[in-house]
Amino acid sequence: LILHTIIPLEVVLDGSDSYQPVYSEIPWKGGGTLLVEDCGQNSVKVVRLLSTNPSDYLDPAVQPGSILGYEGKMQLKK
Amino acid sequence: LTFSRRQRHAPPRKQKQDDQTQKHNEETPPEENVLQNIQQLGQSSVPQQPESSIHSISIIGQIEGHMTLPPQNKTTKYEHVIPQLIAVEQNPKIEGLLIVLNTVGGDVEAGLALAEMIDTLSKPTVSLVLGGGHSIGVPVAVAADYSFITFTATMTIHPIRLSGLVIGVPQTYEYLDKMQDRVVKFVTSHSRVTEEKFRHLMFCTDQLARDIGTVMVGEDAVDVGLIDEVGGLGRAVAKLQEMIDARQGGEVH
Repeated sequence: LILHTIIPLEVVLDGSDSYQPVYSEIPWKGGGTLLVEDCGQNSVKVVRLLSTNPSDYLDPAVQPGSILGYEGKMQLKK
Repeated sequence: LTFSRRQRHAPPRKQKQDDQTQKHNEETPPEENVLQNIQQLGQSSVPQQPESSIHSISIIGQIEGHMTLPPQNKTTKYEHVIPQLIAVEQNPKIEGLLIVLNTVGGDVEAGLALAEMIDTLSKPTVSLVLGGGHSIGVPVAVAADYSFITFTATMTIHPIRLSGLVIGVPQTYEYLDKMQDRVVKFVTSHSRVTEEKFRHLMFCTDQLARDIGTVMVGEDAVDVGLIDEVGGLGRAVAKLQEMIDARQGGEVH
């Protein structure tokens, strides 16, 4: 793994030791599975979409980093 | 404010909202009804426009590859962009792709992967370097069929440094040299810049304070042959449309 960037490595990797996000997988209505990070307050942040259909990836709702809200209680599998 | 309010109460939406409110009046207590209204106010309506035949992908921040970077980095995740490029290639409704770059570099393998995908896309592609297209952003920028750089945008060409190496492979000079050759070969074979000139820019000693390399602003990148033209959004979209028209003309015969 090589990073070719103008940002100093120590800045890029700052906090990588303490950064340990917990991801969970949920099925997505548009197809495929979403890898999400729980943000609390009935919302999750999309980390990754897992789908074999390329057109699923064009959906702006599942761009990495977008926040999805859900209603009621959802048991997130860890 | 008046404009947005008028939009929000556009006739079709309003009717729908009224129906829903009516339903809620029967079923739910008033407090929840208020909440319902607030949630609906948060929705803004987007001006309707005919479906666009071009798609755009913005590559911003760090190009994230094999390793998830800590959250202070703004990243473009290549595992998401690659299937998008496949969808662009395969979807008959999409006729061209505009790639907007404002990147500080990132993972070599991920950057080269994106560059190769953009290069081998059969539909017309145009890239536009906005703020910066540094390091591994350079091959991504030149991968498009035609490239633009704005007047004030910068591109930094510098070698892959030893400090840029993270554990995992033998940290030999030969290895780094090979990785660098991949980048140099891609850039020189996809732009007008010669290998000699590109290596010269890469190892220039009097440009950067703490590193060797060259910073090129707008026109400089065009002068050395890295980028095709200085221009902005309007020119980039016009050029893409021109290429789409030319391609369609060629197919009809």
